[in-house]
Amino acid sequence: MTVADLSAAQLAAQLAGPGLVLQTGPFTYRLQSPIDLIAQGVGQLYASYPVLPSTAFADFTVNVAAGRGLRRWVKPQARFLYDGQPVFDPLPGDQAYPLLEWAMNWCISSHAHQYLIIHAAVIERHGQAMILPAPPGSGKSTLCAGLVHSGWRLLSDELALISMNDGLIWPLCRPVSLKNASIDVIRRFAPRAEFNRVTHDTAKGSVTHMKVLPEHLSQMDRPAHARWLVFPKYEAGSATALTDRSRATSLVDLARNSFNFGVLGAAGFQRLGDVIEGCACMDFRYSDLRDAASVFERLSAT
Amino acid sequence: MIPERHAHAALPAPHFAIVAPLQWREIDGQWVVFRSDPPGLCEVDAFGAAVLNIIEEGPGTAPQVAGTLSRLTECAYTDELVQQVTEHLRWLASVGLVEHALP
Repeated sequence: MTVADLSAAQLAAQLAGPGLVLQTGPFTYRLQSPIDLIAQGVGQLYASYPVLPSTAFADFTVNVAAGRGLRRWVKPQARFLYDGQPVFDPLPGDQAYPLLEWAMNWCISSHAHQYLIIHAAVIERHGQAMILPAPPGSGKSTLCAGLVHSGWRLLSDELALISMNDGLIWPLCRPVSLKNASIDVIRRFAPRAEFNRVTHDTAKGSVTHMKVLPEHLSQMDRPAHARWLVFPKYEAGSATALTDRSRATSLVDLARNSFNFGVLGAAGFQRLGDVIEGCACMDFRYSDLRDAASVFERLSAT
Repeated sequence: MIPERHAHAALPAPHFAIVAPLQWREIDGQWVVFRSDPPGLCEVDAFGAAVLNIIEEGPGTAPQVAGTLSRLTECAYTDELVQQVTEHLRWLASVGLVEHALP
């Protein structure tokens, strides 16, 4: 059974009641919310995802509750509750859907220490994964969205999940977060791409989420070995350039981009070192998505 | 008050020791060192790696480290070598891999 098998009314009732138990990659979430925007977003972006019985075990329970008291009617709010406790400050009710996605990420980065978790996009081609770590504003998600519409498979746009057992990178297969100018860039680049409504005036500006392609979703239980580690940087007007970078420096930089390197300690260092030793490390500067796709097409053939 | 011309003679060279157990990784001839507590990571050049490796064996002063380095690598023990070791120890301290220790 998938989310699409539920009518809009059934989906809303399940979310408002016992919760919708959803599988995304290696995790199951119990999503609970009485907010219409959540039901609409989940119905649209997660339509093809497997739904488990509402009594099934879930790794995380994510509750996006409505505001309390007068906040139910005046300037409504959305609140993320984890195990009944608030985690973030409440946001305007209009931002309920992005809050859900951010909350789902928080659950993983705060708890899933069976993985070394890097703040990075991951894509795959011919069974080999490319890790794209980068700070906000570097164009990571734009590049990731463009490449998954250019023949690369999406594993994750936000969290690289490196198994501590074997170093394989597991797909998370969640919608790709895009913001501000990137939204129109991807609309033009990939007319096939499907988005949910744009939410304006968030802390990150205007944000939307791009639906995962069905051919990627059907492979969400297929991990991949890391082959490339590429640090992207969008620079308006720059020529496309892919250059080698030190693997030792890359190891240090990748650790800085990890959510739980400090938690994992020496085992994390060992695992990260093993990943780096299996990768070619590069810096990538770009301003044109089509040029970027061509460069990565050639890279995937090496 | 110590007269200026005697200041160096009056102050012993500081001892340095590692902050916490270390793990090492060599990648393409460069060294990355992991400090276990609190967890931290640092890239170290070859000379810094040699200095740190000596301190890892046991606390010591810059002249002592330079002496060990000179003996093990058959390079001359000179004031320049001591100065170079001193600068690297200061840098290793600034990145939290070594700290001042009691002799």
